[in-house]
Amino acid sequence: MRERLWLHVGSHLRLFRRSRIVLAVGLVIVGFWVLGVLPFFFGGTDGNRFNQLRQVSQQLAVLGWFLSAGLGLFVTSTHLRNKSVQVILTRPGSPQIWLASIFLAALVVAAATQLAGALITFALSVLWSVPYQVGFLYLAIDSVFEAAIVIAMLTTLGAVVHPVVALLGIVLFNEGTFGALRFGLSMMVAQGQGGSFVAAMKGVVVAIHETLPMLDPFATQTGDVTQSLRVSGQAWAYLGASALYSLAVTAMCFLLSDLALRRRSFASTT
Amino acid sequence: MIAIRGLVVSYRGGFRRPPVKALAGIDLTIDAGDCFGLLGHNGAGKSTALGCLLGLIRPTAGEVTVLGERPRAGSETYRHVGYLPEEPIYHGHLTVAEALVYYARLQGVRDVEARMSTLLERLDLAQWRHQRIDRCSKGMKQKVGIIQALLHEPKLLLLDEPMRGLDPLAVMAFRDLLLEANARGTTIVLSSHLLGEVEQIARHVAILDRGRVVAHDSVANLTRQREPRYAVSLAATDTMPADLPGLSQPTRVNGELHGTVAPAALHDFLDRVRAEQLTLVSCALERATLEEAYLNIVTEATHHA
Repeated sequence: MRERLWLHVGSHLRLFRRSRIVLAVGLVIVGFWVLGVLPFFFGGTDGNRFNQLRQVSQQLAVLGWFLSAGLGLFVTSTHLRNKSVQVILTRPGSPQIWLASIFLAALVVAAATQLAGALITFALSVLWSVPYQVGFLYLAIDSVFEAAIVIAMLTTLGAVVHPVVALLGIVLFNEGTFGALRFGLSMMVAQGQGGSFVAAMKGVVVAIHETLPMLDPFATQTGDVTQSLRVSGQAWAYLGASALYSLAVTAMCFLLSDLALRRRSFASTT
Repeated sequence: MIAIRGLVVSYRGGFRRPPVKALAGIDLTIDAGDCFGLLGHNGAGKSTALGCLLGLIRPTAGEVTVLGERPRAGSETYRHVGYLPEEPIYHGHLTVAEALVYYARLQGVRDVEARMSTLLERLDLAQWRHQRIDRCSKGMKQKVGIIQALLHEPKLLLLDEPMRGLDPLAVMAFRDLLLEANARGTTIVLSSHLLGEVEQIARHVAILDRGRVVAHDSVANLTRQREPRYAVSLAATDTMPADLPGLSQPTRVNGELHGTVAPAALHDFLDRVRAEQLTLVSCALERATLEEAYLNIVTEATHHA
């Protein structure tokens, strides 16, 4: 079982490495990062190096997260749409192993990009003579957990709908949009506007908002780390809790993806 | 080896359209060691039947057993099954060799290099082993499919339109590989439109028409003429008699006289040939081709429907 899992992971990683789409997205992301960072190399002073390093680190975390987020969706939709999954399903080995390998391969890339980001931050801290804060590492690890949640959600959507619909779905139906909607509806209800319809809408929105996975469930509790880059014992505990939350969301998405795959027919023709 | 009982598969017909019945209750038994052809026109249900044998399509009703088990995705039974899909749906981002090793290792075969090299050579694909599959031609992808299906020496081979995209030399090489595998005891089930090829390989065939089995017999029985006749040809001379006993439809072509003789009249005909000292060029029992038999059966089925 383990051998089959790593065989699939190896194949997915080759797909990432050789895909022009992934290469193009990667180049765009690196390009954006370089454009954002270049001014720091020419216009920085010793006084603001720490803030610059923090910005670089945050940018790296976000861009790494962005690069890896869609990879699970990419693999799933590639194999489902060109039917190459048939070649896998007609060989011994549970289809769940193949599914797990997609989550794992995307997570490997997420971890690798965040590790690369952490190493770049460390190298810059040495170059700029800024004391390296463990908060940089903390944020990189936290970004891996956030990426895992998006990877899981997009992979699940990729098993059900067209990849474009999946992307639109995650852009429109996420914690942020429903949070804003909830806030707006709450304000309207508080001001007595809209009547029973708005009240009912608010109920629906609240239910969806509570159900949707959060990217950073302990953002309020760990907000200090982002600012000061100092990590208390309690912050590490919250990081552990984030890991568990991320694991739970991934497990739920895995089960939903498995269910979606079981319901699919893989005939190439009728 | 394979048993199908009352297999029904219906596909959803889309919005406000009735379901489409791809298979309308078929029964088939395929014995171990057989080489079995699944014939039928487009939409007859061949690929659907193969999909059910592989567990890729859930039957609406009926029962399928392959190697004694109900097929399901990822079953351990597939260790002994080789499948060639109709479309070249392989992992395009891998090279030919990478994909073949990947598939073989999923099948549980570790040491594939020697057999893979032999098959690559035999199908004239060795020089392309480091080519990415998505950069291969259609015929090359089909060869990759053939090799991946044969690499682990399966007990059962399920082939969907296996000759598709192959050049004549590759068809010959593939036919030899199939016959060798069958001689080693591999059961072969192939669906194809190329009836001439099926006739050369298969011992038994089933003809599907609109989701039903309209014929299931040996190729020998299907190609046996209802009114057998001998096709004869003689070297034509100026002195040969105008009529020979039992010879029907005589025609002169390139200095030879061709015609047919009923079995009952063959002795009298040959006696007369001897008596007239004519040269008999050939005399053979006429058989229908599988294509003729197929057309007769399908036309009959259409009339009955």
